[in-house]
Amino acid sequence: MSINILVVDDSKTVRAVIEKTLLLSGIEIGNIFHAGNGKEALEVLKNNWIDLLLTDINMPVMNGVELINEMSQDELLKTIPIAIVSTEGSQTRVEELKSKGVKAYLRKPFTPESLKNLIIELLGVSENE
Amino acid sequence: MNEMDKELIKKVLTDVAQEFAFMFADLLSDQQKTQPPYIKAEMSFSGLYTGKAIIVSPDSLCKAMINNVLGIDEGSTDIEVEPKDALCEFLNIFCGNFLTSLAGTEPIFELQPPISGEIKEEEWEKIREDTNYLVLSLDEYPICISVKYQKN
Repeated sequence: MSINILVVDDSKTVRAVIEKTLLLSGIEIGNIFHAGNGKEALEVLKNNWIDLLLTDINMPVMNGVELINEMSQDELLKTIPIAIVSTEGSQTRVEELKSKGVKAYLRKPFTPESLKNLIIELLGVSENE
Repeated sequence: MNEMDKELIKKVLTDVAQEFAFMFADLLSDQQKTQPPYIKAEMSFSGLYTGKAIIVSPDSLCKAMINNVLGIDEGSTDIEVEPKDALCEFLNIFCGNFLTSLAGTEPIFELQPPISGEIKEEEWEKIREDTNYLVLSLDEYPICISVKYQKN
């Protein structure tokens, strides 16, 4: 089964790094969607089936916390696994976000291996041989 | 900028440069010459400490950073190169890691998204001489960094 992933980050560099890591990971990826902030992410979510959402926190227009709050109020969107990929270093905030349904947290800078492992663990998928 | 801050900034910048961009930080030699354009990125933060972090570098460093991060050869057109974007993200990661090193993992900080712009060569030269900035090199490219903060 191939998975659709939405990457939400205001940095194109980070989105490109994540996309490249995903494509090289050996995991069967369907589509990788991009959004530059929470508002754009909600638009993508409205129109596409997403299996996993990777989001930054610190973004203009609508940040990651606001996006997670919006998703938690929607019956369908709140079922999508969310992982934070951020420079956020506060364990207090990470625990807060986990209480709102966030499944995993990866701190920047991250290694490609750590991102791959996070996805495998979250979705229970395996690498292609 | 006091010596303790300089040491902390240097340590965090060195770690982030290695992990994010596979670049090595060192002291800048006077002989290192650069060409414009120059990019300045800045971001503010608030919480237990309130302040601002600024990074300034030639755009050639930003391009080298993108090439390292994405693993592409210089001049490749496969992926759009956005020098300002790379420097902003580098600053964003630096800032988050600096605040954790300074205040630990308990306090929550609000970080404003970085903003960036091109600066003139005269301003670059002034910044290089400004004692409020720590001037280092990343893989032979100069980089100037300043963090000003106060405890609330």
